[in-house]
Amino acid sequence: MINLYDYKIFSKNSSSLKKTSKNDADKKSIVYMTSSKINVIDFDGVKNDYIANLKLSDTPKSNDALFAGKAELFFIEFKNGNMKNELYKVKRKIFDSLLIFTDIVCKGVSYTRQKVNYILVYNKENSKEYIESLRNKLEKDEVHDARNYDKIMNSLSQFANIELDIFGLRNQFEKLYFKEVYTYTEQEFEEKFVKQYETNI
Amino acid sequence: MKLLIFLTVADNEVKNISEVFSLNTEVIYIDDPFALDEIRTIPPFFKIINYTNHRWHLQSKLINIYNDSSVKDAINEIITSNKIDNILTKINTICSGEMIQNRRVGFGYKKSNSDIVLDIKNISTGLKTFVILKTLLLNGGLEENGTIVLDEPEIHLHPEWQLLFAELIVLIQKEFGMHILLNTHSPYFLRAIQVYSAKYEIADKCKYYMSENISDKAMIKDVTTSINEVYAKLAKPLETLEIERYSDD
Repeated sequence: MINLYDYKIFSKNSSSLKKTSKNDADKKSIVYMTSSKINVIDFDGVKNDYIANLKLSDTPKSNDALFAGKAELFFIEFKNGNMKNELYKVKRKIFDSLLIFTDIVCKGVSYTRQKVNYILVYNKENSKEYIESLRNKLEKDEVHDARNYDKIMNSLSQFANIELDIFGLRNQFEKLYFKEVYTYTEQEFEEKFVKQYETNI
Repeated sequence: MKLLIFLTVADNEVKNISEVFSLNTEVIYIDDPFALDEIRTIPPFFKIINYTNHRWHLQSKLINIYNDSSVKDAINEIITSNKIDNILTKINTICSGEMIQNRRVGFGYKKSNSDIVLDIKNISTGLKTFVILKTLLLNGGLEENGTIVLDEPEIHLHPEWQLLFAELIVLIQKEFGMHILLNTHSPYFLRAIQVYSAKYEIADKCKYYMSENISDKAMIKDVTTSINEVYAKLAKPLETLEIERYSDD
């Protein structure tokens, strides 16, 4: 497998998982979706360096982090808030990141299909404004989140020993561009990814 | 127009109604797909005028097509106007055949692209649910602005079919402007109503209520914007089982 740190553009963007999980959309309340200190590459930084001399009018979108495991790589994207209007952005980030990555390492998607995984870490919308809006009438195209519905869904998926693909990302990208695609809540990410790789640091 | 009506109820019976009025549209009550098993042609001299039994009423709506050619014409007009095209395409993924009247078996189910007719009693109960809905659609049993009452429509349906049934109900509401009253104990069906009503942009027309027994009385609570409470009740049995599993007793 390629060593990411052999590429200057990657090594100069070395960061921690915590830093890449930062959400500062609301400057008054900055949120980190993990406190893990695992070393990763800040892929937003990689993108910024990649386009620095291109004089673009539109900036490509990028996944938050790239992590090198022992034999595989992981793109990691953190999404905090209502996914309804965010999913197309997540997909664009996947495409732009793949094009930039494959260009840098001079490999095609036949390489990423074998060696690169993708993880979306998401959080249910819990902002004050959102909770407040639930007290009003339903919008015509609105489905309210229901924590207890998630509980039922999670229980059933645990009995079946399956990981749910609730945004259809696995269906669209696995075996095509990525080896495996995971969709985790913050809590699942800690249990299934962070714990495993923190012990290996 | 708003009308104030006073009902006097005593000993579980309605004793008096202050203003008797009639609805301009019919109410169809579908409580059990087994209604199809008892279906038979009603002789013209025995036409039901007073629908005291909701199953007879449903059955008469289902066999209407065979007696009334003007209805047939009107339905063809609706079909050609594509109004129910989308709904039929979805029903046909599960129920491609139709209910027909046959000398040998009486009412039967004829699969599409096949001459085989099964006795309507012998088709699966889940399929009967879809046959009822499809027949009502095809014979004009569903009226614009009419009302359908569905009692636990998820019964006998695999969760995948529950999702499809919920989508059909939402589409029928949207296309026909029907008033649909239903109750459910299924988290699959409830979520499907939420999701499909949002997908077809009628979520703002949905109201959700939860019935709770409080000291021998049924309290009906509006949970339209706090539907989590319903799922809490539906999640509870799963928790009970886990507690049971780890209990020392």
